[in-house]
Amino acid sequence: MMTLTSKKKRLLLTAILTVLLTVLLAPVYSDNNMFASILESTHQNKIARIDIFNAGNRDNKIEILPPPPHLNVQYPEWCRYPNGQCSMLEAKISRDWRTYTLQFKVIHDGLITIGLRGPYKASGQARFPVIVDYKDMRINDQPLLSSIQKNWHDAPYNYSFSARDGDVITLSFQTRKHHFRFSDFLTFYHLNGHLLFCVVIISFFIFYKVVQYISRFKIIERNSRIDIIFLCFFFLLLFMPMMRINDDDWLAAENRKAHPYVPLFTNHQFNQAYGTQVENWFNDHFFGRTQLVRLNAFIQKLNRVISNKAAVFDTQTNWLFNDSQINQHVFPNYNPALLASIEKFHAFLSQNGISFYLFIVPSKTDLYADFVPGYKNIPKIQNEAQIRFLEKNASFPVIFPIEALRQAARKDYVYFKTEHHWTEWGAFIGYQTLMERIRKDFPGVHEVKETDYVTFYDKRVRGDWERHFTLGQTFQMMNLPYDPQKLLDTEYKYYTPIHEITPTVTDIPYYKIKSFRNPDPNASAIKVFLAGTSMNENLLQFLPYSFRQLTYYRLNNVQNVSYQDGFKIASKYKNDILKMDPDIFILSINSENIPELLNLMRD
Amino acid sequence: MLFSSMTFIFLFMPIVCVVYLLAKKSLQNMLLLIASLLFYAWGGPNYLAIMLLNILINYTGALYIDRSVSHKKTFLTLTVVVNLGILIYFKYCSFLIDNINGLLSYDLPLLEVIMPIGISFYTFQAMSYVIDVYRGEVKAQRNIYKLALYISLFPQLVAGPIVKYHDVNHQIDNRTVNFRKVTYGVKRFIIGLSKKILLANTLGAVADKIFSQPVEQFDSATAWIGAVAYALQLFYDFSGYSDMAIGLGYIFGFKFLENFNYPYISRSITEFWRRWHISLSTWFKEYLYIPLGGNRISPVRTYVNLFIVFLATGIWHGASWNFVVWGLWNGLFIIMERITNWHKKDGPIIRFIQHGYTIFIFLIGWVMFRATNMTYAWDYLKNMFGFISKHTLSHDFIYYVDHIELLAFGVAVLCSMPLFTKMLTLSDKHVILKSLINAWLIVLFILSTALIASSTYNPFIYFRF
Repeated sequence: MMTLTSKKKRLLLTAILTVLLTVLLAPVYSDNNMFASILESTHQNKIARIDIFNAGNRDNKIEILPPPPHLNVQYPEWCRYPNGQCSMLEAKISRDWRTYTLQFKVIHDGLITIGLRGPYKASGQARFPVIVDYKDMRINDQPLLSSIQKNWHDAPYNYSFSARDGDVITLSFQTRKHHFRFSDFLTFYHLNGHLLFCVVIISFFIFYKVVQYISRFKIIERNSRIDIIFLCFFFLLLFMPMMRINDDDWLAAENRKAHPYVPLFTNHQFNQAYGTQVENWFNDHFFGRTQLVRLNAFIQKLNRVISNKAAVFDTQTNWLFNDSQINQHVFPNYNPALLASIEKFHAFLSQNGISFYLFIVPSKTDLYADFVPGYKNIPKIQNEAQIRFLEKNASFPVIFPIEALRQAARKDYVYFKTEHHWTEWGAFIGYQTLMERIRKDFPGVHEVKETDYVTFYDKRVRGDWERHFTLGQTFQMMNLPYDPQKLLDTEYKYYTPIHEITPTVTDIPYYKIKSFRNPDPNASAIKVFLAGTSMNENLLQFLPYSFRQLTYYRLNNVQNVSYQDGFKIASKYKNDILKMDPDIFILSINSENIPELLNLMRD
Repeated sequence: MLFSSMTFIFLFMPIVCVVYLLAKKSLQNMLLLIASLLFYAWGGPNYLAIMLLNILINYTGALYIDRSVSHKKTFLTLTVVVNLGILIYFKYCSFLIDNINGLLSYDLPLLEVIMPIGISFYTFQAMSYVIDVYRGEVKAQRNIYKLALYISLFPQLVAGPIVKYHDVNHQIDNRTVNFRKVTYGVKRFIIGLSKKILLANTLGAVADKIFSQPVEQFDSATAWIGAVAYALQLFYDFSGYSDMAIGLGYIFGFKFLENFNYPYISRSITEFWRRWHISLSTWFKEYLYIPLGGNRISPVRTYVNLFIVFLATGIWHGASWNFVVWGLWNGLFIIMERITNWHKKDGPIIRFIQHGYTIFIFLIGWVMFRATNMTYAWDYLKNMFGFISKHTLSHDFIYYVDHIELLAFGVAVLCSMPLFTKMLTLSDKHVILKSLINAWLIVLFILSTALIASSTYNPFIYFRF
């Protein structure tokens, strides 16, 4: 171990540290991530990249005949343009020249462009050159390149020529790993010699002093060498995050804008929130942030189950469950009171000639209890006793599509993994069960079919009022340190109506309403008043298409209305119901909302 | 600014430390003062004015006390009243108005006063200075910058320990910074940071899950888990902050007195208060209990004095009846122990019972301390003892304590006992042990900062198109 007691050793350490700092400070005196680029170009890179593009119409492309060995041919999706499709070839390279010959067929007349370049390489969001050498390129045996070309991804050698549909082109070229020349410093890295000189000299003097300062602890004060190393390492760690501030303004992994730097004086005024704003800015930009977050995520992943106040997360399967759905409600027996409350509401509707349906959407855990990590006491069905009591004793139809959903869950996901809502496929199954019951009373009602929709699969989540694709609300509640894109590991089935109805949306204090008017003359002339919670958002992909008019009143998450007050339907929406004069009233709630039905007739 | 923020650890601290350590000795106080004022003004510069006013009042007050021959007491009273007046205005005003309205059926409007961070700590520090000057223990500081440094010194500004002037006045003028102090300071800082981030925050999440629910939603066992989790959270949070403060003090050459000494191994509440928040209890002892007569007048007067001290201790902790009751709860048992003297008895079984009794009493106390109001505290306590039989929700154990939290629980319980103290002492003589401890401290530091960095990770739910 170095004792730092001799001048030679101190000088050696100073020199090593100077070189290290000079390498770190390369962006000061050069462009294009110089050292990484040199390392990649001369040693680590193993492929040359050749792009061939047939420009003309949408269907223009080329076809490689038959792919030669050591060549990887791809037709990537990002390389599809309105005027044609390009092909990407990757050729293995080494320190020595290798010759490649290939043939390709032109599909449709067009302008062929052959681009000889290096592979794509980026550090953060900035690309840097990985240089590949090319020579002796020939097209149909006609020589085109005599001198050595040094190309990289953003600076390729391009050659274009016209070709006709069906032409077979023979392309040959030689390629190798880049052989580094001194002139490359100027050509690729715009090396500023003056700045480099300053960096080396200043670094040397700084480190000379620092090493001298540190060595004093051992030589004069006779301190522990272990502690000297410990302290140096600690202070290095302290300085690292500020050494390189990331200037990206978009944090891709977090799907959000990074906090910008706000100066101390803005518009000639003292910025009172400067400290907080600098904290926000630094938190988003310091060097090593991604690595630290990843480290924490790795440690968290050692934990099978992560839970917080809002939800629980299985780190192995990526299932997330809301707190409200995983815990057993142990209410006293209130079934008669519950039934009386709903019957009273039913009586009010009957008096006004409105048919009433109670539609109870199961909880996610009613379907996926086995995926709740570490839990032993999950109810098989939330509020099952109440549901069964209502099914048995109510004078109105109670629809609880648990069996249909269980059947459907064998084929595809009926609930999202990172959110508590059902998927559109799940909602479609629920819709079919509901319609089966309504059609008993209203046989003429049209029931939509899957053929009325364009279906597609997507890993993202769409289940609530705004109809945006999201990462999932449960994921958001937990604020997990994971890349959300990686967490979305499942594709869900979505439905887009071929003839989509755009609702009129009202989202103001005390009211959250969506109104649908079906322009289809074949739709049954029935008016529906739908009231309920968030599961209806996906149900509305289907339900409005069966009726002439449907108005949906959201009961929870309404501005200025508490959760309990939201269910006081009679007092709150009586006039709206009478004004609309619907034929059908559907109360569509989640199984965990059942206790709130005691509030239906309360003021 | 918080010690446990990225900005403090990776921006403020390295710059201040390096500039301070490389600066000439004559500039070090000025540098520390500037750093302290910047540290305090970081979150909102408005509060800085209150602290500067506090410095000015105490500087002037002490000078008058020092110079005056016949009116020393008047100037002291005036300064203390102004200090307490400012503290009461910012900390207790809303509480007092609320209670006056409740008691006398008035409708006085509540003042929307935001409490400046650390006001309880720096007010008490300032008062210790003027009282010391009044007692003649120290001379009044003629250099306002040095007094400002004492009151605003950033390592102990926000959460203590409450440094008494007579403990540090010599260090302000004359202190040495050497390698050993810096190394110890850094190690102590890392230990404090790990206590706060890895243990207190993890256990705090457990306590939050339980205390944020209505008491009907969890059973007795869970209520006890919540109380223990909170007791451990509070200890590691507070002692972690004190460790960081003491560590930073060492880096800058100061030696602050210890604030915690394994309080949870106490065998009586009297002993507990000798080990818990030592700087506060000694402050009250020196500046309130002894001036009231301490235990020198009569037994009854001693009990009254203790009652007053613990009433004040409770009030100091916060403007809420919970804290008042909590203070009196502790005072009550200290008086009982003084009357019975049973805590002085010894023997293996008695010792075991004494430990059990102490843990029981402080756990009950912490429930009052944590609860948002006394009604909740009372219901929580009833739940702990099985007096709430109807529970509306049955949670699974793993909801409250996941595996990492369980690990933190175990580590927290072990580290609340002096099991590893000898290891640190031994490490000075054993190279391998020292290397291992140093490496472990670096690992703890990286783990703590990884957790802090993750708290800044905040994915946006909607996909941008």
